[in-house]
Amino acid sequence: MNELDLNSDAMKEVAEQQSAFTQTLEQTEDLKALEALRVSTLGRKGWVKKAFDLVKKVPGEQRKAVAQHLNEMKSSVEAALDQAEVRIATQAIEKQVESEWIDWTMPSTMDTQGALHPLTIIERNCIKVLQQLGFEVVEGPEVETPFHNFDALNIPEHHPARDMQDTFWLQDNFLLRSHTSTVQIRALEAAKAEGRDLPLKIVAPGRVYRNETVDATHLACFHQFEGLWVDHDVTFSELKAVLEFTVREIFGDAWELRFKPKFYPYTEPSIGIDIRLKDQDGQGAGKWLTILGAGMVHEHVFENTGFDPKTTKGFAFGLGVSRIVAMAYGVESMRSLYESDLRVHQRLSVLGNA
Amino acid sequence: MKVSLNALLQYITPTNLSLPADWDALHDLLEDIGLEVKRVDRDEEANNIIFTLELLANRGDHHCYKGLAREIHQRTGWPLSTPATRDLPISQDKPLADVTSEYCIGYTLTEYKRELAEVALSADKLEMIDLAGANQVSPAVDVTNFVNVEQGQPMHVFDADKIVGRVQVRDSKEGEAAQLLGEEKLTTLTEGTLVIADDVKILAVAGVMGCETSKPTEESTHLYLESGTFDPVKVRKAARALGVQSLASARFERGADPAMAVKGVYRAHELLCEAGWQVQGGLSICKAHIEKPAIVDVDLEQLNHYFSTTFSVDDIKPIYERMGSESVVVEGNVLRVEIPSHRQWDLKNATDLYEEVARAVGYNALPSKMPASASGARASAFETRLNQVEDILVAEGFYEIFTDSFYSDQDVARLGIQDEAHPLAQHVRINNSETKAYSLLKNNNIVQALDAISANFRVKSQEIQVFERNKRFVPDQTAPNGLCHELEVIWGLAVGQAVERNWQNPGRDFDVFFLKGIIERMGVKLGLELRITPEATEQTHAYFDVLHPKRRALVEVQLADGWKVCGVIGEVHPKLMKPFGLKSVRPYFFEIEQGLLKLEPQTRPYKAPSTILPVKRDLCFGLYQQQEAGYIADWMTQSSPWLDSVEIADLFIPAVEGGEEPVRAVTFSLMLDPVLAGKDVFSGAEINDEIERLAQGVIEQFGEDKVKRR
Repeated sequence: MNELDLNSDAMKEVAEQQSAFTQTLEQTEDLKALEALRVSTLGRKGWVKKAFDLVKKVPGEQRKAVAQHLNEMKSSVEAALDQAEVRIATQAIEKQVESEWIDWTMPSTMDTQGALHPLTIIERNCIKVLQQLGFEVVEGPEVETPFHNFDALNIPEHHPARDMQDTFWLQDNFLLRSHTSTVQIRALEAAKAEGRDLPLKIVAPGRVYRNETVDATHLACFHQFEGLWVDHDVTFSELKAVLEFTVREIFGDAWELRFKPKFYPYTEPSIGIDIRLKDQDGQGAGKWLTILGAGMVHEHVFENTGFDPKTTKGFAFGLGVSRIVAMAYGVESMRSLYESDLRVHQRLSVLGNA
Repeated sequence: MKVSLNALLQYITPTNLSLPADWDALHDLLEDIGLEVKRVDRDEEANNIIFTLELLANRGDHHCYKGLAREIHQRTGWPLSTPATRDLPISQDKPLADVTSEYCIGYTLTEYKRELAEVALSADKLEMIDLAGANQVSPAVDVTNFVNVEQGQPMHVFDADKIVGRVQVRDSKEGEAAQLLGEEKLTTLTEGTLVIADDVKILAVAGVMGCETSKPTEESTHLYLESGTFDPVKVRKAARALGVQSLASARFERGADPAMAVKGVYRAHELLCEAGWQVQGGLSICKAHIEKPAIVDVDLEQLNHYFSTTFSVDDIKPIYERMGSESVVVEGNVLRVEIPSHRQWDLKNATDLYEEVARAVGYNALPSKMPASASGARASAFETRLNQVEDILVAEGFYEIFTDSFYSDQDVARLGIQDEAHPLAQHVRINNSETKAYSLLKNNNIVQALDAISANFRVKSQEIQVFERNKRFVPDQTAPNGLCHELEVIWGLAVGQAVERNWQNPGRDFDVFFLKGIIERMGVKLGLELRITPEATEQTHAYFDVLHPKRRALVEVQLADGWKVCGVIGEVHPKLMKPFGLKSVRPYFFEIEQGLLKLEPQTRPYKAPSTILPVKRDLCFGLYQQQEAGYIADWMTQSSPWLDSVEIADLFIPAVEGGEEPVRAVTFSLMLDPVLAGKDVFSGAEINDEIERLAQGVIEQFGEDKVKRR
C-alpha cells in the first residue's frame, strides 16, 4: 500500500470522482436527479465522505494538507450543487413559462354588464348639474287635462300654439301631455296649496307625446327635461347666468353658446340657446345646434296657478335631451333609441361618451 | 317663409353691409333678432339669395317684407324705404257692405272697373308672390296677394257683377253652404262662421278663402276690392273646420294690423291702377277700426334691475321709436310707450317691451348674474334608491330600454284574454291617433316585453335582458283624475343564458331563481323585507293569467300592517309564445311597483355570530310535488330555538319508476348554536335528539302525503 499523500493513487481517484461528479452535474436537468447526485456525493455513503475517511491514513506531516485539500474540494462540490439547483429551478420555470403561452385574442369570459339607456345617463348628468344650484326632481302625470297642458300655460283654445303640439286626446277630454311644462303647473299648484315658501326650484324629466307620423326624427313618445325657478324677485340676468352655468357644466368649454329670441306661450321673453364646437383657436366653427329653450315665466301662468305676478317671478327652461344624446353618441336615428334592438344599446354602452 | 334678399333690400338699406357679399353677417343678425334662417339657396345668375325663415309664432307682423324690414330696422336703424302708394278718396256714400258681426274688426270695399286689358305685375313682384307659395292668377288677384306678401295685409277681390243685392259681413246661419275656390261641391259651414255674403249666397269665408260663385275671371271688368281685419280666433276656427290654410288665414290667425285695412288699400290702389283698373267712387269704409292705441309704461329702474343693466332713457327711447311707436313720452324714470297697431296683438305689458329692448340690444350682449340663492340640493331618497335598483339590474346584465306607452287592439289581442271584465282587457282609449298602432294606452308590459324578444330574435340576438322604468295605465273611475291610475313600475325580462356560454364553459340558462335573486338583492339594498309568494290564495295579480301557472309568484313587501303585494315574478305562459311568433323560448319576467322606492328602509338589528363553535347537521326529506321546501325550512327555524340557520343545501330528483309520484330529495343544512341553547357545548345525544324532534315535527306538520323522511 502506497503511503498516502496528495499525489497518491487514492487521492487521484478522489480527483477522478470529483471530475465525474462535475460531468454528471452538468448533465443533470431536474431537481430529483440533482438530489440523488447530492446524496451519492455528500451522503453518508457518498464518495466525499469516503474521501475524508482517507485522512486518518495520511501521515502526520501530510494530513493537514490533505484535509485542507479535501475541505476545499467539499466546499467546491457543495457550491456546485447549490448553483446547479438554482440553474435547474430557473430552467424549470423558464420551461413552464414557455409552455404556458395563451392566446390573448380569445374573448374574455366575464359575464357582460348591462347599461342604462343613453337618455337616462344624459338626464342624470343634467340633474346632477342642476342639483348644484338647488333644483329638486319632480315628476307629474302623463295623462293630463287641457288646463294643465294648455290653458294654464297661456295656450288658450284655438291659439296657434296648440297646433305646434299635435295632441293625443283620450276619453272624457283627457289628453297625453305634449310637454313636461305641465309639471310646472302641477308644482306651482302644489306649492300654492301647501303654502310652501319660495324659492321653488324643480326639474321635471319625463315622457311626452305627440300625435305625429313616426319617422327617424319624429316620435310619438319621447323624453323632455324641464326646469323651473320661481321666487319673489327673479331677473332675466339670473336666467342667463343659470343657463350659461348649466350648459357649460354639461357640455364643457369646448363649445361656444349663443342666445337668441324664441317664442313660447308660457314664457315672456322667450329665448333659445344654440351651441357649436370651437375650433383649435377657440373660435366657433361648424353648425349651430339648438339644445335649450327658456324664458321668464309668463305672468298668465302665475295668475292661472294662483300667484300674484307682481310679487312672483321666475324662469323656466327645457333641455332637448334627445338632441344631446344624438350629439354625445353620434346617433342619427332617435327612433332607434326607442326600439328594443339590444345591438343598439350594447354598442352605445361601450362608447363611454356621456 | 321664403324670402328674396334682393326683394328685401327694396324695403331696407343696410348702411354697413355690402350684400350679398356680406350675407354671413346678415345671416347672424337675422338669427340674433329672432328670424331663424333654416335654409339658404344662392342664385348666382341673379346675384341673389333666397332664404327660408322660421318665424316666431306670435309675430304675425313678420309675415311680410315690410315687417321683416321693420324688425331689422329696430335693431340696426338702417333706413326703411316706403313703396309707392296712390291717394284715394274716402267715399261718403252709403257703405258698400253691411257689417253685422262683432268678429269683423274693420272692413272696406273699393269698387273698380276696367275697359282695357289688364297689365301684369312686374317679374320681381311675381317672384315674391311665387316664393310666398301663391299662384299667379290674374293681375287683380296678384295685386291682392302681393300686398299681403309686401305689406302683410290680406285682401280679396270679388267679381262685382256676380253679386246679388248687398254685401254683408255676418256670421253664417245653420246649414249654410259655400262653394269654396277650387271645389265643385258645396261645403256646409259651421254655424257662426264669419262670412262675406250677398243676398243669395256666400261670397267668401272671411279671412280664409273666396268662393267660386264670386271669383273674378279674365272676362271680369267690375271688381270689389276687399280689405279688412278679422278676429284671429274666428279665422282660425273656420280654417280648421274647413281643413284649409291660405296666405290670408295664416296672416289673420296671427293677428293682422287693423290700421292696414285702410292703409293697405292705398298700396293696392297704386298697383291696380298700374294694372289698368279705375276706381269707382272711393274707398268705402264699411266698418272702421276706432280702437285707441294702447299705452304701456316702462319703468327704467325696473328694466335695469330685470337685465342687470344701466340703460338710460336716451338708450331706450330710440328703440321704441324704431319699433314703430308714434309716441314715447318720458315722465321721470317712466317711458309711456304707445303700442303701434301692427304690434297690438303681442305687446301687452312692460315685460313685452323689455323684450323689445333685449332683441334690439341682442340677448348675447346682456349681462348675466348668478342668483344669490343658488345653493345645492341633495338627490332625493327616491332618486338614490332608484339608482341602487338600476345598479343591481345593470350589474346583472340588464339593458334599460324605452317602449311606447301605447299599443293597438291587435297587439293586446295576442294575450288571448277573452273575459271582457279581465283587468288586462280594460284600457284607456286614444280617440284621435294618427295610426292604429297607438289606439290604446297600455295596461301591461308583457306585450312589449315579448315583442322585444321577437325584435331581437329577428336580428339573431338570442340573449336578452332588458328593463324599463315606466307607467302603465289602469282604468279606474275612482282614481283621483276619474279616469285611470298611472301605475309606476319597473319591469324586466330575461331570455337566454344567465351565465353566458363561452369557449371555457357551456353556460347556464335563466330560470325564475335568477329573477328571484334579483328581487332579493333589491330587498337587501333597499332595506325592505321582500318575499316571493308562490301561488296567490287571497290576492291575485293582473298578470297571473299570462304567466306560467306553476311558475308565477307575487312579490310582497312587509309593511307595518302586514304583507302587501308590490310586484309579480314568473315565467311567461307558454301559450303566448305562438301568438308572439316565438318558439322554444322561455321568457322570465318581473315587475315591481316604484312605490317600493318610496318606502322607508326597515331597521335590521345586527346578529353577531356565535362565539362558540356551531354544530352542523344535514337533514334530508323526500318532498312530494308542490310541497315547498322553503316552508319546511321556515317551520324548522321557528320550531327550534337552537337553530342559527337552516339552508336548503341540495336537491335531487330521482328517476320516476313504475308510475310512482315523483319525489324530490331535499337536503337541509341545519346550523345549531350552543349559545342560543344556553349551553357551552352540545353532547352528541342532545344534537341527535333535537334533529330527530325536528324531523318528526316536519312529518307531523306537513303530513306524510307531502313529506317523507329519507
